[in-house]
Amino acid sequence: MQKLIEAVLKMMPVWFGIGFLGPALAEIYMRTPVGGVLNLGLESGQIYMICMCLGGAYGIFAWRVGRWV
Amino acid sequence: MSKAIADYDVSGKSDAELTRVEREIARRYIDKLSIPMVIWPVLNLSCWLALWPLVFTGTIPLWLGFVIATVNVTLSYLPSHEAQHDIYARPGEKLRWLNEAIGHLSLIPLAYGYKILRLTHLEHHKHTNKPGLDPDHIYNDGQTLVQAVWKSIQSYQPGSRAASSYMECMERLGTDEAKSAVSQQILIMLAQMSVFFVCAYNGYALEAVLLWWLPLKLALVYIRIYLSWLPHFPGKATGRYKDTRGFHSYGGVWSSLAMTAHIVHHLHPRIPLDKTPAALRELYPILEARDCDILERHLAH
Repeated sequence: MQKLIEAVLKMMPVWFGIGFLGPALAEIYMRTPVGGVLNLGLESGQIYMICMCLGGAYGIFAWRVGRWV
Repeated sequence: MSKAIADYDVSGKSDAELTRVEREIARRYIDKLSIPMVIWPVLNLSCWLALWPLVFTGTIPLWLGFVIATVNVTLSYLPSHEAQHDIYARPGEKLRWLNEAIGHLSLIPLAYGYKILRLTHLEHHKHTNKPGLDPDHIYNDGQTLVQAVWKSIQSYQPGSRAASSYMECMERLGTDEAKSAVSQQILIMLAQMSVFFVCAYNGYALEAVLLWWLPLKLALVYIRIYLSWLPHFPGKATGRYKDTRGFHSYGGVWSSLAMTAHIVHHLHPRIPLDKTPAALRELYPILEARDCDILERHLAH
C-alpha cells in the first residue's frame, strides 16, 4: 500500500499536467485572445482533450527527467 | 519610539558584560504580545480567501486578484514564523492556542505545513550556513542575485536537490514529530492539488493559476531572497555573531519585511518581528563591538 502511495505521489507531475496544466492551457485558448489568433476551428471538448494530452505529456517529461524547464 | 541608532559606550567591556547588556536589552522586547503581528495573519488570510468569491463572481477583475493574491501569499509566511519560535505564546501559556492557530492557518496560502517549516527552521537556526545540516543552505549559497533566483526556481523542479532539502532534513531528524510533519505536508500538497483539479473541472483553471499557483511561485522567490539569501549572504560564515548580516533595502525596512534586522532575530529569536528594527537600533553598539557584519550607522535602520 505504501509503495502504491509513493508511486502515485512521485507521479504528481503527470497528474498535475493532465488535471490542471492541460485545462489551464485550454482556458488560455478559449478565454483569451489566443484562441482568436490561432483560430483552430475546434469544439471546446476537442480543445480540452488536446490540451490535457499535451499537459500529460509534459508531466511525463517532468516526472522522467526531473525538471519542468 | 526614537529611530536614532543608540550611541552608548561599550569600549572596554568584557565579553561577559557585553552579553549581559545584550540580554537585558533583548529582554525588554520579549514576552509582550505584539498586536500588529496578531492582526497581520487574520487580515492577510481573510483577504486571500475573500479574493476567490470576489473574482469568481466578477466583482473584481482577475488581474487585480492576481496582484493582491501575490502580496497575500508573500505575507503568509512570517506570522507562522513567529509561531515557530513560540513568540505569541510558549507551551503551557494561556494564549498557546493562538500561537498554534496562527502557525497553522497563516500558511494556507503558502501550501506548507506548520510542522515541517517549524522543524526545518529550528534546524536552520541550529546549523546556520552549514552545508548538509542547514536545510536552507542550498537556497543561500548563490553568489549573485541571478544565481539566488535561479536556485529558487530550481526548487520547483521535481527532481532537484533543492526540492528535497526539507524532506532530507526530516529523514535526518527521524523522529515521530518529523514523520508526522512529512505526512502533514503530503496531505497539504494533495489538498492543494484537489483545489486545482476542482477549479479546472469547473472551468476556473485560470483563476486557480492566478490566485494561487503563480502567486505562490513568485512569493517563494521573494521569501527566499529577502528572508533567507540576503540576510545570510554569502552563506559561508558560521557562528552566533557571524552567520547573519545587516543589509540595506532601498524601499526601507518594511520592503524587506524587517529582514534588514534579521541579525537580531538570529541572536534573540523570541523578539517579535515588528520589534526587531527597534531592537537593532538599541543593540547596534554591542553588535559593532562584536564585529558583526552590520551596515554603517547612517544606513542601518
